[in-house]
Amino acid sequence: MFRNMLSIAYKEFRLWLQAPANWLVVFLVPFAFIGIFGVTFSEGTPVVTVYGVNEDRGELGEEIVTLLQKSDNLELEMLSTQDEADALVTKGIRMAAIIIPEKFSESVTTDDGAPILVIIDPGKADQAGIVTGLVQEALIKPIVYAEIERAMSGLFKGKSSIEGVNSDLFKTFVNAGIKAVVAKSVNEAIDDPLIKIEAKPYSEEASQGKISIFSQLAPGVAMAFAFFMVSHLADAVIDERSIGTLRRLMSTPISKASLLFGKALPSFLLAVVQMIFVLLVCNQFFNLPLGNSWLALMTIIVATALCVAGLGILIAGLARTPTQSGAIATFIVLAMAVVSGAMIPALKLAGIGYVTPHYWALVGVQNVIARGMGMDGVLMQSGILLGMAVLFFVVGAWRFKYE
Amino acid sequence: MRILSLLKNDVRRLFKEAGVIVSLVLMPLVFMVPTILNTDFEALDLDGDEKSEGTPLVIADYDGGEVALDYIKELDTNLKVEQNFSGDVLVEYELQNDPRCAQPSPACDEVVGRARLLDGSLSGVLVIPEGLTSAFKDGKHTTVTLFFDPGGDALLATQIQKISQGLAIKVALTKQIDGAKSDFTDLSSVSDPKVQAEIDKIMNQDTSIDTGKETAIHVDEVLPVSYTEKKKLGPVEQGIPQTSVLFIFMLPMFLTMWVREEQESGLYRRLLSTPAGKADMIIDKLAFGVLVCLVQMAIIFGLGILASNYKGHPVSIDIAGFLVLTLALSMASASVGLFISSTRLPSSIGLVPMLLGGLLGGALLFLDFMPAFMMPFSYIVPQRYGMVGYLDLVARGGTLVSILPEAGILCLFTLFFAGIAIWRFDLLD
Repeated sequence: MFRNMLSIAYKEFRLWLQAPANWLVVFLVPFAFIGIFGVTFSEGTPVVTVYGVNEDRGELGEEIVTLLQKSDNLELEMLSTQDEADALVTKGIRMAAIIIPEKFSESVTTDDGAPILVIIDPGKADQAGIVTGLVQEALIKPIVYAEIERAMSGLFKGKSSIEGVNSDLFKTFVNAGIKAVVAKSVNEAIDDPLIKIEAKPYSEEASQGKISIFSQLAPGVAMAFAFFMVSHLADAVIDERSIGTLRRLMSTPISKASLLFGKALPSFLLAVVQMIFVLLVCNQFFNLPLGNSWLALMTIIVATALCVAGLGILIAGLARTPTQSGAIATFIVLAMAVVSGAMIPALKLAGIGYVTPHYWALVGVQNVIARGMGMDGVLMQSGILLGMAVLFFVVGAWRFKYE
Repeated sequence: MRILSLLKNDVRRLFKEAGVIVSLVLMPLVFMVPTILNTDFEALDLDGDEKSEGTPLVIADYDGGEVALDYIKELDTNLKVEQNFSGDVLVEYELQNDPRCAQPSPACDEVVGRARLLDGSLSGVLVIPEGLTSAFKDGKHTTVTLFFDPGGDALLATQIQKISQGLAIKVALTKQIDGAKSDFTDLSSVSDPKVQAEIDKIMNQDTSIDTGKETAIHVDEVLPVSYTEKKKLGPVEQGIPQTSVLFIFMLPMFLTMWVREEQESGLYRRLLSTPAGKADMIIDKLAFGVLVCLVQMAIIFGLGILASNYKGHPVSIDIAGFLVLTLALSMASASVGLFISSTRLPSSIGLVPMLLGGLLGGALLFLDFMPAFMMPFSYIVPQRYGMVGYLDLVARGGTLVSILPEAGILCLFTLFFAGIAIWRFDLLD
């Protein structure tokens, strides 16, 4: 039986290799995804390109533009007028524009203060809010200095009561003195604050030492794409049935079990290779840590791949035509990737997610690569995945029509 | 007439393929439903009394001094601060018998916070160490630790980290500036007593910031002048275009499978012996694809708009603009499907336009977050024009006229892909 299974698997694998498009779907598409997510998120907060307009003629406006241009997370594309920026944001070309209005420098000391306007695209309001935060972060020093400057201008009401002292000179002297002392404190408070926040993972073993959006997305992509192998497997089995070769195979001494295992084996191996490939790319190109235990990582990968193979057989058992199998596989795989949070973490549905293999695979991988856990972090998850794999395989084999 | 009967036949066949209907129609709902369920509609109500509770943050305050309390007060205005756990929460995390939780204490807060990090219900625990206030008064540095789950929601953790650091600077600034003022007064003691008295008088004036007044430099979010709706949009309105554009491109995969099956079954060969020609069959498939996409879009938009309206957050849309754009987008999607069908590529390749096009076109990842060098790639995928057009209609109050350029470009995509498909298609292959 084992030999039969291997020969079917070998033939299946050779067929797979002969179609270059398969390589594209299994390796290049996840690679492209990881590449795009990597260049966008691997350095932390993404760099946002926005329009900038400086209509102010004063020095402060210039200073603000320079500081914004120096920001690590903002890329300014300067335009000449607010109307132009308004029109382009309205059209959705960029999600925000930062406007330094006319007479900005002069307005700073007034009661109303000086506004920096962030025009946001209403269609991307949720995401555009990040621009306001980035502007405030980049301009923290001028914002504080401006506040102090204004507060100080209120200190000198009326004339100095010291005889023989020129009021203006005295005011300039005190102003300069306070500014010098306060400026030192402001610089210290911002550059080297007395209270510092240090972000630390809650567990000592964690291999992911800093908060990273990429590290959250990458394992999800790896898991989601591994499950796309389900569609390949189901297609391969149903194709064989629809062109009649399955009927001919059944007339040979090959058992039904060898046939299904033989069909599932290449998909299982490809899913393993694909997951390792994606995680290695993330590790080599975008510094994704791979945890402290290769054994644990391989355990969860193998368990996930078994589940992929089981699910493929289940779908092959349920579908009657290739179109049906493609439809069911896509629905199940994509829907599970969404509700488990593997594809888009924000769309995770906590309760429903537990019934998807993606969820357990993702938790297991995160336990190893982010939380730095060993076998203790994957045993339960691998067990659940194996249970699901067996269930899928048994139901699939039971429902499968060989003719 | 011939095309109509071919189309009728395709529709009849579709009704027999429950799996395809489920995928094409129900699949987008899997994206929409979590968005609707996860949306805090009350937080979007700008005029309502209800406010969003904010991101939860557990604080374990081992210091308890004046600076720590000021800091927590500031944090509480931006985040949902949680402390002093007792009762049900302790039972939920099986900590009711833990000696640290015998009564509310920072140690208990920390242990509950860590447990909540572990179960994913929290994104950060802030531990304020003992001695923060005294160290601060002595001008010494103190490190406050923000514990996060490295496998948890990184976006929320980043948000908490930035807010915590920003407010720590704010608290420190207020105190340090007061210190600087007193340093200056001390310095003035070397001057003439009259000058010293004058400086004392100046420094003792109230310089505290009037909270009712705008800050000297303030960053204001405004909507574009031409935007007339003047309301804040929620994830549902923003999610409708994303989901629509993403899933309308599921069609190429099914169309390819369908065509392949018909080729293999010899259906085309038989049909070609009737008066129906190659052009009829290709136009039929294009029309069928468009029909399916129109139904898909009607369901996504219908559900999204209904859910938003039901939650008291009405969405309106220009119907003519919607129909024209959807038609153009549907044709582009169907023509991509026909193009793939005309090649020898396997049908699974049909997922590539959906996934990669969705990523590059802004349906899976916001284009504005992409590095500048990648931005030009978005112009070569039809998804970009679909996103811009739908956002125009749903979010920016756009009309038929405003989406005409996008619809035009989508028609060019259709001509390009359908043209190649017609040229390359070998129905008997």
